[in-house]
Amino acid sequence: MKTTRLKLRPYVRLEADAEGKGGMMLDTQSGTICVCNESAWVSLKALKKGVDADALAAGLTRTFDVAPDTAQKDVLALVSELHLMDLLEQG
Amino acid sequence: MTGIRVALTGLAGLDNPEPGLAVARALRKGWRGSLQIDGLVYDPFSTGGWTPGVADRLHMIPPIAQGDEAVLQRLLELHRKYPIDALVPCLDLEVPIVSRLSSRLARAGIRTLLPEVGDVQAISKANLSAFCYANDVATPRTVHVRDLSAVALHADNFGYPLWVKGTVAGGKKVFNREQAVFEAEILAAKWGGGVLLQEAIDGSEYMVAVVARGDGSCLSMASARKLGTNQRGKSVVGAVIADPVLKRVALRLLSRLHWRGPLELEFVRSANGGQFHLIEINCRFPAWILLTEFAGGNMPVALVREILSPGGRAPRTVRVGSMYVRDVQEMAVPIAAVRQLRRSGSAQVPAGKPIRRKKGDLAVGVTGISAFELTQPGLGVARCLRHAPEVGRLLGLTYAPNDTGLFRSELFDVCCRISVENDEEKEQEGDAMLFDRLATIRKKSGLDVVIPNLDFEIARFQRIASELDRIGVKTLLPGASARRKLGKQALAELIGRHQWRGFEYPETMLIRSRSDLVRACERFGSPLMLKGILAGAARVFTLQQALVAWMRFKAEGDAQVLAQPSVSGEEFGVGLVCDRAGSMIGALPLKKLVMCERGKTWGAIPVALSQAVADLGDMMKKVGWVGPADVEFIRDSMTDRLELIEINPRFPAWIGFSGLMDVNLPRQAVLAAVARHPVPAIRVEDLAQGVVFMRTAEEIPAAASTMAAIVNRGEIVYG
Repeated sequence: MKTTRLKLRPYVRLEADAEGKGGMMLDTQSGTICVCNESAWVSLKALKKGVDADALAAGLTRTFDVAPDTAQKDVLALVSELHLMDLLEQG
Repeated sequence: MTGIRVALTGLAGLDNPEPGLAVARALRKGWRGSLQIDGLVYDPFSTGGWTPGVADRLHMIPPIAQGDEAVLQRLLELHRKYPIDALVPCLDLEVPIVSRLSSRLARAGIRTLLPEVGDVQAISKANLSAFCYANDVATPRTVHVRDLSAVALHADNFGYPLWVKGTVAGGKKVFNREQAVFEAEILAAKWGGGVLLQEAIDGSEYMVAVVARGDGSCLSMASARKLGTNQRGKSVVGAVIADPVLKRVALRLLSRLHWRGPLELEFVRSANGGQFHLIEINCRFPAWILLTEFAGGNMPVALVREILSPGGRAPRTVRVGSMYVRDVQEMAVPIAAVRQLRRSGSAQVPAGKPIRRKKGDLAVGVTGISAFELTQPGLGVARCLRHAPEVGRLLGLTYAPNDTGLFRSELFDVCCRISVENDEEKEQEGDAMLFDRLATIRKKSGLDVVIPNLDFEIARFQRIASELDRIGVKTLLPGASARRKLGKQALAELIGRHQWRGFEYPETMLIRSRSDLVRACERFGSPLMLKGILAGAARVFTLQQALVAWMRFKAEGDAQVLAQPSVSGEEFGVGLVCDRAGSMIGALPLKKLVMCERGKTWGAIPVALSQAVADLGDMMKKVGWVGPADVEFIRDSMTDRLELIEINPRFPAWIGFSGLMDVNLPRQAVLAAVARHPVPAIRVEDLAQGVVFMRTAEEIPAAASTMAAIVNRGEIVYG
C-alpha cells in the first residue's frame, strides 16, 4: 500500500447525519452524492484533513476492531473508488 | 425599497407546476419590506394561486390568443385599481407578448425586464439547433417534424431511445417506433406545430438559472443537478452545485443570447466524455427557483430589485449543496372566493390555518408518504391525523430516501424505513421481515396503529395483522375475500347480481390475447379503456395504441387486462371507512373538478351522492369490508347514470381534504382500529358545501444528512 498523503478535494463536502456516525458525501462540482456508513465516515473525515493510507487502515483497525488485512482491503477499495470519482488529491 | 406590488403569472400546472408559484414563494420569503403579490391567472382553478400566504389576490387575464391589445388593456385596467410596480411573466408563451408591450407598460408605470422578441424566437425549441450550430454550442441532434406521418421514419433514423418533445413544452423518452408515434400525436395535439425528435444522450442532467441585467451581463446565476427525476422526466430532487466548466459554458452562452431578465438553461452531461450538451433554453424562471432562496441567493428577489432599481448589487452566491424536493400542499378554498374570481375577475386569497400538533395518546404509522411520482395517500392521511385529538405521534413509514414526506418535519415526529420483498416465492420471508421491522419500530418509537396506503401493501399488512395485533399494533384492513369480491374482475358479476339503484358497472371483457383485444376494439369502439388487473389504466383510440398500452401493462407484470367502453362524463370519488363489522362509519363523496394529466384529482368539491353512498354502504356490508376504500365513479354523459369505475382498498390520494372538513376519515379509521367509539358519522347531505379542495406542488428544503440517516440508520427523528 502506498504511503502518499491523500486528501479529499476541497469541493467535496461531508454532511453528518444526526448521530454523527455516518453521513452523506457530496461532490459540490458534479452534484454526485454518496451515502456513507460508519466505517466509510471515519475514513472520509480523516481524508478531509489529509492522511496516508496506512494511517487510514490503522484508524479502522482501532475504531472497529477489524483485522489489519481487512482494514487495508477496505481502505484500498475506498481510495480506488474516490480516485475513480476524481475526488482525491495526492501529495 | 418598501411597499411594492409585483404581478406575476404561472400559478397553474398541477403535478408539472408552472414556475409562478415558486417565484411568488421566493419573493414572499426573501423580500425585505412590504410586498403585495398579485397573481394573474387564466383559470379560476389555478390551484397554485390559492396557496395561503403566497399571493394576496388573484386576477383573471385574457388568454394570450386574444392578442396583445386585450392583454394590455386588462393589465392597465388592473394597474388603475392595484398599481403594479413590476410584472414578471412566468410562462414561455407570455414572454414575447409582454416584451412587445413592455414600453407601453413602462409608460403606465409597470416595469419589466425581458429580452427582445427576436432573441426569444432565436432560442425557441424549434430554432435551438440552428442557434447552437451558429454559436458552436454542443447540443443533441434534433429534428423538427411538422408532418406526423413522418415521425416513424425520422424516429427509426435516430434509433432508440430518443426524446419526443412538444414545440413549446412537454416531452417523453420513447423506446420504439410505436411509442414515438403515440407520444408525438399527444404532444402535437397539445402544442401544435408538429413535434421535435431529439437524440437521447446518456448522462446526468443539470439546470442553470440566470438573471441577466438590462445590458445582458449576468446579475445572478445558480446551477443545480437533477438528483431525482420522475417518470415524466421532471426533476423532483435537486441540489445546488458549483461546476466551473458548467459555469463557463453558461456564461459563454449568455454572452451570445443578448438576454435581459430570467432564463433557464438545461444541459445533459454525457456519461461518455463528460461534455455538457445544451438541451433546452426556457425564457423564464424554472419551477425549482425556490432552491435559490433555500441556498441564500434568492434570484426572484434579485430580479425584482433589478427591475425597480437597475444596477444594484448582485445577490449573494448560492450555497452549494443546498437541496430541494418537490412535495405537495393541500387546502380547502372557500367556494365564494373562487366564484368571485370567476364572476368579477379579481378575488382576495383567503388565509390558511397552520397545522397544530395534538397531544393524544396514540402513535400512528402511515405509509405512502411520497409525491415523487404520483401523490400518495399517506401524505393526506398524515395531515388528517394531525387534526385528530387522539393522535399524539405520527410516524412516516418510508421505502426510499427520496420519498418527499421524509422532509416534512412539521408533519411527522419520526420517519422510519421499511422494506418489501417483491419476490412472490419469498412471501413468507418478506412478511416476517416486515413484522420484525414494525415490532422494532414499536419498541423504539411507539406504534399503536399502522395505516398502509399503497395498493401493493394491503395484502401483506393484512397477512401479518393478527401478529401485529398480538404485540399491540392495530390495523383496520379488508380481508382477502372482500378484496377479491370488489376487485376489478369480480365487480361486474357482483353489481349485476344485486342491481343497486345508485350505480352500474360498465360492460367488461378480459383480454388474454391479441385476438381478444381486436374483439374488444370492435365491440366497444373508440375510445377504449384498458385497465391493468393490478394497477393502471389507459384510454386508447386505435388498435395500434391499444397494443402499445397492452405491451406496457405486460412490462409492469399485468399479463391480462380488462377492456371496457370508455365512459365519458363528470368524475366522482368517494372515500369511505368501514368498521370491523363491515358498517360504513364515514364517507366523503366529491366531484372532481381539476385532474392532472395522469388523471389524478387536484381540485374537487364535496357533493351528496346520497343514493350511491347508501348503496356503497350496503355493498361493503355484504362483502364484509373492513377499513378504508377509495371508490371512483363517472356519470355517463349519455345516460346520466353513475358508472362505478373501480374500488381501491385504501384511502384516496385526496383524503387530506377530509381532515379540512367535518369528516376526518383517517381519524375514524384509527378510532375503529383501537376499538374506541367513532365520531358520529355526518350524513353526506350535511357535509360542508362551501369549500373546494385544491392541491398544489410545493418545493421544500431537503438535506443530504436526512437521506443518509434513512439509508444508514433507517430512521430520522424530528419530534
